[in-house]
Amino acid sequence: MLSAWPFVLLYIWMMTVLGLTTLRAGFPFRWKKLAFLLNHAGLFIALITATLGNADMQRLKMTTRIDNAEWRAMNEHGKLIELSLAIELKDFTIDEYPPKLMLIDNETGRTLPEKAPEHLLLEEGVTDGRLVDWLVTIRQTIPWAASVATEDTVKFTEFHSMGATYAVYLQAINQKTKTAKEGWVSCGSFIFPYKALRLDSLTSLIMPEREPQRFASTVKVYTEDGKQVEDTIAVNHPLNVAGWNIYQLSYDDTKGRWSDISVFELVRDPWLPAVYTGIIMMVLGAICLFVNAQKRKEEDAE
Amino acid sequence: MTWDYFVPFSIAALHFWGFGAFAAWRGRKPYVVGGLTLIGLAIFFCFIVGIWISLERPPMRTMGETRLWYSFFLPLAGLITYSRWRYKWILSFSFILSLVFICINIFKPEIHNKTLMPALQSPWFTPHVIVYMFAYAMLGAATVMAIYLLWFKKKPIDSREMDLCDNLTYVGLAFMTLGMLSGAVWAKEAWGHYWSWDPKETWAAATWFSYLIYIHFRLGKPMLYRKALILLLISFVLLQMCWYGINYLPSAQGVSIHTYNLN
Repeated sequence: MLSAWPFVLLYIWMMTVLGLTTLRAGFPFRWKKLAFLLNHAGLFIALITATLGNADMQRLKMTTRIDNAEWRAMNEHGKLIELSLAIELKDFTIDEYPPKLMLIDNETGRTLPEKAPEHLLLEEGVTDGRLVDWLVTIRQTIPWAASVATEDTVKFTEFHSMGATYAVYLQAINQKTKTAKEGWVSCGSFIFPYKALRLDSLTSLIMPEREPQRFASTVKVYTEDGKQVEDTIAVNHPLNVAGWNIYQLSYDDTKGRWSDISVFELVRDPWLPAVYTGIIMMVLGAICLFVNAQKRKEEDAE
Repeated sequence: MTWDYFVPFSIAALHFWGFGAFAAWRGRKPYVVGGLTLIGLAIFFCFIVGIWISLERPPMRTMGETRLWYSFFLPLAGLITYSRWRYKWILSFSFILSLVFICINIFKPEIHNKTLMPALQSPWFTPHVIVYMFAYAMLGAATVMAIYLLWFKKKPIDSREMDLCDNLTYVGLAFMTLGMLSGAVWAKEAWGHYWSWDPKETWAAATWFSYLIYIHFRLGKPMLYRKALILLLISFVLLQMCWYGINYLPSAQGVSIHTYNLN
């Protein structure tokens, strides 16, 4: 960003104008100028400190494995850096939404109907539903299932261990042609392959991979001064320890909810309080702008 | 409550908004106008609340859902403008705009997915989107006013009409600023940084600066009405890019972390 010279020139020009305008309006100080100052000085502070923060900020990536403590993290250039804190991953979990059923075109693999695909969310209590012309009735549900190959087909049984998948036995009846089909459908896992149900020569019924609802890592963080912090880090819920913000970044996506690693992003931005000062000033300024929208005109008229 | 009920609810709401707009046009008492519009808003809001409950998440993820809020805020913005400045025609404009967005939702429905990805599960989600939609509604009203003044009004432009454009823009910009800043604070929580030059953020910044240019141009050259109004239109085009235009931009495909409605 700072390597593009038009951007740099524009930035310097704007900061100069903005700074000088703020100074001119701010001295001597008058209450009438408060909204103006909040908006202009706030923007000035936020933009200057954000630029400084961009240069001073550290963003590191740390990969942790369950039951291991990790104190090294990688920066943007791929260099390993030793930190003054260590993170021990206690547990990693993914909560998932209930699975969905969808129709796909056998040739192209695209979901149907082409422009606005329909789906049936298998929430608790849902036992039947419609997908385009097909009436789907769920006969049996196994939330923790394993696929077992029999002589001529694949069936599913209860399986309460790592790699379990979600499987339903269902019946589908086409309301136009009155053809009926039944069989197992499953989204599969890193151990078991997925299972689709071929309805006719054109369409198949599938269960796409379940969508994640929440990623969370239970961690224990050790700092240099001997402090230990135990907490849960989730998306939208970072942990702040010893000047670092620790974010849930990623996991082993080939294993999905069975991942035994969790990847964190560690961010340290010494300019953050200053940026937030600017942001708060601008928020107050915006509120003044809204309140004063009409008043300003009345003053002009006087 | 599902989207199947959208048609009766929206038609009922549109009737009340229509009657309200007509009453305002005919110069009826403000409480009649306000009452009719408020009943329409209440009906429409009932639908929003119902769909919120049945989806078990705020209805703000897909484009269809944001249009829902936009259709709600337009008459509200119109009513606020009417109650502050008593422009007779403003409610008719907001009614027509709202009608357009409701029609899009009726005739071009989108995937109605119950799931909400973890990045959107935050207390910031609701205020961020609502504030932005309200800002868009205000700035949409300013745009309609600008189009009217530029090409439809036969007599010369009155300075009071320019004041209305300014006021709408000031209010819209104030809310847009709040939306952008709340987005920055939320981004810090969710993605680790308050600004990451995501295509949506870049277009939001462009839109924001464009409206700033309009405001400063009005202060510096208050008599150049037509130039100012054209600036207002350009700003609104940028706003469209930011709102949904980037979904169609090749540069944002698969790159923007803001495109949630594409499956």
